[in-house]
Amino acid sequence: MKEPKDFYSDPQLTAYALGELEGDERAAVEAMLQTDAAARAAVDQIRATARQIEAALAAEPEPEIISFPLEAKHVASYATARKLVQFPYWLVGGLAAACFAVVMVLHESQVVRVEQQRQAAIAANNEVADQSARREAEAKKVAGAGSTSYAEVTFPVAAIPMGNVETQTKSPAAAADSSAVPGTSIASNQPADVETVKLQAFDAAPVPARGYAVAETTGGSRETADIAGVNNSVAYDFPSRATPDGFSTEAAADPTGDNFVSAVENPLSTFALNVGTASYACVRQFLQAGARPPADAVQIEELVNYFPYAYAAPRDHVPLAATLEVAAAPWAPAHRLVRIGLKAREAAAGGTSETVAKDVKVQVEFNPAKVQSYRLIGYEGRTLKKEAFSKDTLAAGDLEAGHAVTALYEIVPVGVEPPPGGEALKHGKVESQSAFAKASSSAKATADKTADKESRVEGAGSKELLTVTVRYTPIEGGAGRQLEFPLTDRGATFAEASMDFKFAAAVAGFGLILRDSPLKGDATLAAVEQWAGQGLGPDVGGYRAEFIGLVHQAEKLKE
Amino acid sequence: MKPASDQPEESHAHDTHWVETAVARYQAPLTRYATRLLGDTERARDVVQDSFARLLAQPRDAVDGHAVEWLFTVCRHRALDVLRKEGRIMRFEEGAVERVADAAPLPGHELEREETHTALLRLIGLLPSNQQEVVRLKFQNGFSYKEISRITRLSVTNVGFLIHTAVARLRREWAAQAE
Repeated sequence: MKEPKDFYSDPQLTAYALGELEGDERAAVEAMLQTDAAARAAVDQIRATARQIEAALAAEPEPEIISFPLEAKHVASYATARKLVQFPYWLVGGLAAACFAVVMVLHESQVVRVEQQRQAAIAANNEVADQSARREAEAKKVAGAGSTSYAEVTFPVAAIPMGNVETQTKSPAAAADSSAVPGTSIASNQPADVETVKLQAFDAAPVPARGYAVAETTGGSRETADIAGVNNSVAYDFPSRATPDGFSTEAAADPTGDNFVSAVENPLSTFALNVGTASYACVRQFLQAGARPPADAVQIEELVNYFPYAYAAPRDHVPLAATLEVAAAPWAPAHRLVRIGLKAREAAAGGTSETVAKDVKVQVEFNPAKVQSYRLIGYEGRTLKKEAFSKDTLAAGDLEAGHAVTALYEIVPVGVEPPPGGEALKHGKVESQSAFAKASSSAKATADKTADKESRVEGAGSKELLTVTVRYTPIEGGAGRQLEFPLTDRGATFAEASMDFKFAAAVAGFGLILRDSPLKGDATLAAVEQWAGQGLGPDVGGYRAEFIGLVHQAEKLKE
Repeated sequence: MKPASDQPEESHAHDTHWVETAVARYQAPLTRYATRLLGDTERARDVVQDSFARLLAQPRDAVDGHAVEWLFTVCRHRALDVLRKEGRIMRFEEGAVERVADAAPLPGHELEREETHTALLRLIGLLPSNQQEVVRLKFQNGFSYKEISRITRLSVTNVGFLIHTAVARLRREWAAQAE
């Protein structure tokens, strides 16, 4: 993002252009402007942009205002209410500081700078707390003077408890959110899922597929360069079933639709990079016409991929980035829902269509120490050959600039009753039955897998839930590259998930209901509407609001 | 709007007229601000109403000269409180990146059809949420870096960095679109 002359990368110049500098700082910039025409041009550009931003924001419609009279009763009701609200102001300050620190990690990758900024933010936060404490004292003085007609209201805002340690530790949210506490290290708490990106060259020596925790290693070289400079590396051992290409060609069970497959039997999965979105328009058309769409018209993966999500853009010259998240599946809280978002690098400015990587293959490897079984949500009724999931054919393709795809996996964790499979069986789902039966009926397979299973358990130390691996050939040619994105499950509840996660889950839940899937669990239209509402976010373009409207439509049809 | 210079003029410390003036003047911008933070107007109104009620409970002397900044500060705190209670402020675990990372720009051809303001608003809407917030406070509500710093509890340097980053990105994307 550096401009040729680099003036645009200087926050001071922006501050100057916006009239935010005073004294020596201002003088310093002005002295530079005297001699530097390029800097003057940059200031003009910044001001022009600022004017455009101001004009655009001024044109933004204001929300409809329902005015309310200000009466004493407001004060009274507020007085009652506030006693229940112990708002930890320090926490907000800490959160804001923490947000900034993470932004710095992501965008600057300069740990030193991050640390400085973090310290500055913490210092600023402490300073604010000090100021607030002073204001509190002053406010109390004023109140004590009895000079106002609000003597019964003894809680000027500055007097709301700040930094009340007892309150903090009692609050589960505050306690769990230790990263937000000023003074704790944010830099050491980087989100592992995106920060850990490893590049592997695999042209020199055959690199076998990774396997979680297999005791007997079969050799196979690993050339791992930790390009992000971030740790979280995990020792992977490699099972012998790998091909020179590195992706297993072992036929896997079909984990799509309503089929859960065993992670021990089938630790590897994949999904298509290119997913259509036509099903959404189709579903919308039916619902708006007052009819329930036929189940076959509902392709859940297409519904989910219809919506834009805010995925992290790739860094460090890699062609794509992954955004991974896991939280409770809202329709089956004992299950985990994993969202995998892949986002290709954007085209250069003015570019139309551009390939950013060739022969791209995606592989999801589940850790059987954590995952009992899993399913890829959607893709029902697609005639996916089992072999397709070996990844050699299905997902190989070129990746276009700006392309994004979302995949959702529902996971039954180890130690959780497997009701979904049982449920499916009860409903006479032949496909599910065959998937499970097939996996367990082959004597040879069973013997092999049992040994495999035991050896995996030995190495159950791997804390990842899964790892997404993306292989590609750079557009400039040369050695194939490999990106790894591990995901660790920290047990987030659905409420703790991101808005995008909630919304994608709502869309998937809607699809499960419309398809009357035996795995829809607790999903109801009312619940879907609630989840979508929680995931509405800024809703640029209003797509999500429209979706909620469709859920309404469906509810009306139900009645 | 120039908050620093638009303080209510009335001098009766005991009446509520100055608050009513503030309501008339700042209810809409505050509601818009809160809506951005909360994602829906309904709760934004609650938060704004609560903010004014709190203002009413203030001795005027305590807020005189910075009532607007005070309102935005309290409004923000209340909004974050709501978000926190609903679990919508993300922990710094899986997915945390998403909230703070760059949102995906839309393909250029989609934008060309839009009107200038709408297109720019859309670009602003794609900024990371913390950048959006300071950009709105600066360019929509007219606050200075220092005021934004007090409202958001970020340092002035941080505010300057966020605004700089956002403006640079908008300038770049806007130029790319105009091509």
